Amino acid sequence: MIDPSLTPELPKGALIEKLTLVTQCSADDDVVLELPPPLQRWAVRSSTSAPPLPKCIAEVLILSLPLEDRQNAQSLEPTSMAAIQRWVGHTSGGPIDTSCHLMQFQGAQIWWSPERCAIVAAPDRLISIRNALIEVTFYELELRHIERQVGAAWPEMEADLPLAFQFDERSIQRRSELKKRFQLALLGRARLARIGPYVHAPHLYPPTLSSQLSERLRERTRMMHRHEFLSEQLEVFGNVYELCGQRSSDYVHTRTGTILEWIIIILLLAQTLFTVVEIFAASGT
Amino acid sequence: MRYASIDILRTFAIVVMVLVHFSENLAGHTSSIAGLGAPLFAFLSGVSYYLWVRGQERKGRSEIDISKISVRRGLFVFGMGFAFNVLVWLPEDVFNWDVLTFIGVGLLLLNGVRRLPVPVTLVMAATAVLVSPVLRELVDYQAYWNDTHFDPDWTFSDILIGFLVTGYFPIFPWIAFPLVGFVAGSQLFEDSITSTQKEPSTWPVLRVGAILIAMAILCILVKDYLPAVLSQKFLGSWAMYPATITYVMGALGMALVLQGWLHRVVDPIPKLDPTPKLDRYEAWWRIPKTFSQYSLTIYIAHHLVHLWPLWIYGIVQGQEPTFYWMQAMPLWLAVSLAIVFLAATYGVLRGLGDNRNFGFEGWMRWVCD
Repeated sequence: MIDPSLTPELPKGALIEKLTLVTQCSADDDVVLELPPPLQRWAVRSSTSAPPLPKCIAEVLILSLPLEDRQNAQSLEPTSMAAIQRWVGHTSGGPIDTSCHLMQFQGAQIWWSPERCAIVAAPDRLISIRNALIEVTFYELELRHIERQVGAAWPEMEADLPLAFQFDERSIQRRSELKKRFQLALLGRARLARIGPYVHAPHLYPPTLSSQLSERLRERTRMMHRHEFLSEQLEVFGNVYELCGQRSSDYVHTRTGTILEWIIIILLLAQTLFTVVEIFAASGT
Repeated sequence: MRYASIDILRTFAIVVMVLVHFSENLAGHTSSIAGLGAPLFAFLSGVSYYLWVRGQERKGRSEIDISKISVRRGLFVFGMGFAFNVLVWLPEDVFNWDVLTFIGVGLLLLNGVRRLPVPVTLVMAATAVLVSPVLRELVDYQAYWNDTHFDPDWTFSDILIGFLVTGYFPIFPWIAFPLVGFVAGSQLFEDSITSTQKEPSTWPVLRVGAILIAMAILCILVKDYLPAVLSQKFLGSWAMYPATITYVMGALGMALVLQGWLHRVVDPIPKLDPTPKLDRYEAWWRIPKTFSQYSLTIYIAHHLVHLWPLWIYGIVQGQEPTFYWMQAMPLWLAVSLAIVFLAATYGVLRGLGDNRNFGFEGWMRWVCD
């Protein structure tokens, strides 16, 4: 996980932790944080070289650099700061992420990106800052995941739009597909609703370092706006698929009735046919 | 988009029909493959109609326009069937209810059922097959047949009964073929509308086909152990005239299995690979493509080519026109002539190139579309 070419530049005393966000944890796991209970997520410490844990939803690397007593983070050497920034900006998937956020609070310095974070602060503040970062990272990842899903589903939804108005015989085979998409839209809404109270959490008074950090990061990553936009987009999805579901359900009900009616008509026609053929056969001979 | 599976099957049907008709009409020999061509031809009329309707919808034609063209096409083929009977089989056989009049009626009916739910179409097909032995019993089927030929009186009742039950290709049970063909087409060739939609599976069609074949074989095997009423009057043996339930099941099963299997093997999958799988064998594929494009023309032309000289020769010899029918030549010569006809036809049709304005198909499009 850690690029060996970058780590030697990091200042002495820096500690890198690999934290995994999981949906389920066991008694053996080294749980460092339990997110608010409705979310049912845990941050578990794991070895940097270990394979991903089961039920893992994301992995975050956190670099902690404890400052000596009364030392300010700004007094850190520029080369060390640059090395930390480079390390945070390094992503597993490609080029250096230049969009990492740098924040300073009460003598602490924090770099944040969705995959890597760095904290330079007094030792007694490291844990509370780390926990705040994990929490915000989870919300951000969750939002990003939903955004990706919604973005990918737009073309399909546009193709499904006509079915919200009219359903016919050929559309029947698409029912299972529509059902899946409807479920996906609902699931997206549920996930969004789940993180809603935390994304829209009011400012805490009196503020603490972790609450300030959390609020600042939510603002920097435009979480509240993104949450609202996603909510609106998912509402569109919900409306479309609700209508599709209604149309398909109506059609299937009508279809069942129509089939039964047609079977009766066919039987009556067969009976009429027997009579007509019998009459004609008798007249012919 | 052309489907190689349909081209191959239609070519198979037309080749079988040409061989059977030449050997039957010129040498009086009824081949064992005699019952394979016509059911396949009728089945494919249903499959093709489905594809044609989809093509028209894609072009943006309205439902009413599609219905109008369907009716015109149906009537055209129906009328052509009568003209064919008069000109080829001579006027006394105008009401013999041959395959063209049947396919014309089939097209008219398919236009009616195309918007119905699939189960209704299948119930119609099943009913048509199941009522046919009862209808034959009601009208005394054999009374309308003289030896091996349909020979009705020119009365309204006989003509109507011939059309419905006793002709060469009566509505009951033959209508089951285009109806099932239409349903099979809708199951096999359904377009994927969205990128995530799965391609339709061929397995349901293959399974139903295999079950029908198995049932037909079972009917033949257990025939002797069943009550006579059931085995002789209802299920019947493997016979085309009349088309027994055993025969219809077997022929339908064969058509479904062949169509499903060929679609699986030779047709392109638009989403995965839109290029035809037979592009590598372009020269060979051209043969079924050509025969399929002109199947109607070949069907009419092969009758004209071998029957008109027969009628003329009879008249020249001072006999009835039909005097030499079924006794004109030995079997080997009749089969050789059939092969020569097929080869010559292919040469002529290839000579026409891709211009499809020639032939009865082109005229039908010109008149009806």
